[in-house]
Amino acid sequence: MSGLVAALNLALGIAYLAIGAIALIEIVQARRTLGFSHFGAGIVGLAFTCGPHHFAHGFHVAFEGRSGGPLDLVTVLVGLPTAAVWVGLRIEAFRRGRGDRFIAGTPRWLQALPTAAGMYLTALVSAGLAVGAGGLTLRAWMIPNLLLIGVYLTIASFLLRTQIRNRGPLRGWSLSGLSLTGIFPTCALMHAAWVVYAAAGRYEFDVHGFVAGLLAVPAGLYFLWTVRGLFLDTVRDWHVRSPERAGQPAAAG
Amino acid sequence: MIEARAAARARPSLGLRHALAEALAPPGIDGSLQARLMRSVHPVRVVIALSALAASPFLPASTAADRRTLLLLIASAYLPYTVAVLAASRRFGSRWLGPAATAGDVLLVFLFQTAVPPARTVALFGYILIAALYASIGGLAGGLIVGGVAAALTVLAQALNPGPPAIDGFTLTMFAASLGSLAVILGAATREQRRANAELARLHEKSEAVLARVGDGVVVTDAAGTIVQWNKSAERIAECPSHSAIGRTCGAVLGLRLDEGELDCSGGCALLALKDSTAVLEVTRVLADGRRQPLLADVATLRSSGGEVSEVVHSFRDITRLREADEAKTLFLATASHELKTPLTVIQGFAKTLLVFPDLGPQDRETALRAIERRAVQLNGIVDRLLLSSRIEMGRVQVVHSRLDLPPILEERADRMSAATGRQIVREIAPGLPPALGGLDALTIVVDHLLDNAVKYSPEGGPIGVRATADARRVTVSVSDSGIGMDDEQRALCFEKFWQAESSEARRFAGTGIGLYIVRSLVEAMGGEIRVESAPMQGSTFTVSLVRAEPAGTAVPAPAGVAEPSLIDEFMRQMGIRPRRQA
Repeated sequence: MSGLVAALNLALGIAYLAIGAIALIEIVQARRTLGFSHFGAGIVGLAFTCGPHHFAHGFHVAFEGRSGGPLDLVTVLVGLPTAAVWVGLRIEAFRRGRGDRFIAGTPRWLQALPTAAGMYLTALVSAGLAVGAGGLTLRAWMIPNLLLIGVYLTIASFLLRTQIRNRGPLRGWSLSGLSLTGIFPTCALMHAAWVVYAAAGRYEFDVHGFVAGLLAVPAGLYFLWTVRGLFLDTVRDWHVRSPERAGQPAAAG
Repeated sequence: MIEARAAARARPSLGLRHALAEALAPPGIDGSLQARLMRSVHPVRVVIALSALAASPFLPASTAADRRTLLLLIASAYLPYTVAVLAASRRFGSRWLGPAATAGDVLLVFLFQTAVPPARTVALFGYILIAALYASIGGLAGGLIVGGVAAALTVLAQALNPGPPAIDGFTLTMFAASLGSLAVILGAATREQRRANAELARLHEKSEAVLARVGDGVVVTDAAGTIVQWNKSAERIAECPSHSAIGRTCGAVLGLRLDEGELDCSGGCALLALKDSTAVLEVTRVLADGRRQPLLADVATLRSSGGEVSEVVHSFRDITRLREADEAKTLFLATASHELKTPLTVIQGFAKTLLVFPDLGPQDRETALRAIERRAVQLNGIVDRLLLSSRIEMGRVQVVHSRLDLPPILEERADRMSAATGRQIVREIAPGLPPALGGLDALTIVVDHLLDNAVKYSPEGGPIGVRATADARRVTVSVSDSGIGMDDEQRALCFEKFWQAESSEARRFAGTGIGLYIVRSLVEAMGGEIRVESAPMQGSTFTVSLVRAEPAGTAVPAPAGVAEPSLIDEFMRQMGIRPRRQA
């Protein structure tokens, strides 16, 4: 089990780093014509802190004897498909494919998703309480992970709100949107599982994960600040600068 | 800039609760409380079984054998049982199914308690949940009976297979969850009961509500002519509350007149006597301020089983507005004729001059032709307004909605008006103004009319302003002047068709009286609103609010099933923010 936990976390870490790298390249390439993108920088911040966090955890499990628990494995296994779907769609879009799939109406499997999520959450909470039955001790180095749970759930709520609001006009769902929405709460649960094991004394303090977590909190808050500013039009991002001012002809349509 | 920042400081609603409320269908009142809860209890039972299955590997203070036994019992007995109950409820729907299923729940949990001692205390709290479920079907007494039986069975299980019950954080959590469920269910039951009572009262008042809301005044009198019923519309028409009218006679309260004579109801209902000859009567009332209120009256009798007239039902319709509309139309015809005749007279005059004096000099000829052209354009504009008004009246004006970028539109119309009139127009347009939803032609007409009015009604040459701002949902355009302004009555009537502030005999300002009517109609056709703030000699400000093309956080226009090529843009799109390529 530890081997699988390590492999999956390493894979997640590499995937998030790749996402961050792609976003960084896009920012650099568009900077001359469209200026700086706070939103893009926020994505880079999230990816370049969450990725190393998973990477460090996987490394410690694989090579330094940290024992990955079943909660660790389950949360990563549940989160992996949704991340894989979104990354796969991005790869397709990168290769000039559609990059998305339209789900017409609300099929039964999608209708069952909230119930399944509730059951999953119930099982996780039960398991977490069972792990913590022997007593939980919260230490200062666990606090960044606690804060990240809140940050990622907030991001997930924005995504979920958009999917639900788009459901009416689209008369269906976007697979890209749903998969992206699924990444953040599952990631939050991964961090919650980590906190439980750390507070139960199974995980020792490691400086790499702590630093990654410490940087991830302001990165997440910066991202949320950007999102809020874009909704309120208090943040000027490249999406409000007209191409004419950048010396390019207006985009068609 | 200041307005933009002020608008930006407004906190956005996260909107998740509202979005879910929009997405989920609101619960309706169909069927009895018991039937509805029965329908929901059986699926809940399945979910509880599945959750118990998921949580059973983590049973605290237990051996691996205990956990395996519990897992096996739930998977092989409890879960199939709950699914079977659910399937049976869908197929048969018997009212005995609920109590029978509850008894099955209790017996199965007793089996778990006996077979797996560590599950004993957890099961006890599971009993509380079962009791709560049954309370929702069979009432609180039934739930308490189930709870009592469950407690007795727990003692029996302990006697049959003694073992330490485990009370720890897990079981305490289950206990709290069960109690919480009980409180929620009972609370829901109480609310449903109250709602049922309220529904009953509502149905009882429905007939009264229909009568109260009918547009015509309805007055019911008994055989002696005493008022026994007086609806809301009658209160409004007669300006007399029902408690003042009921118990008095029609004649005393209404004082109706036919032609110049007052109707005499001393020998019975006068309207009833007159009704033999006409279908609907036009009568009048004299109001307290001496004005006459024209009414259309109808009357019918209600007879008892013996055939005598027991009650008389009178209905009245206030046709004051119809009469005023007629007068306004007459005034409009006179005004429009005058407006049309003025340019026609000039055209006719100059045309005749050109015919009578063919040797006119080139300069004089050009002057005449320019005057003819100018007046023809004016005439064309008047006719266009009349035609547009007519199309609006017939409901044949349809606005083709599109995303409107307001700043260039407002700048262009302001420039044209400035050039045509020589008046300076101050523009205050918020930077980064979001697009609005509307029709380009309709908006152009609206802005032109408002600017034209602002110029016309500020003859002293005061400043004219055009302002544009936006908030999360609306884009607002204001046109203001510092001219003659309007008083309260004028403000209330200025959007009415054919209304003009001045009588036809003493008019300082030209116009047909349909401009603002057209403006309001077009604004409403675009889904917007218009309001006016004005005071005599302090100018007027007309404010048009249009729907913002896309409130923050809603659907971003993109073909379904196609993502943005850029990762950043796609992430933005799914967050409800407009990506850069569609700026």
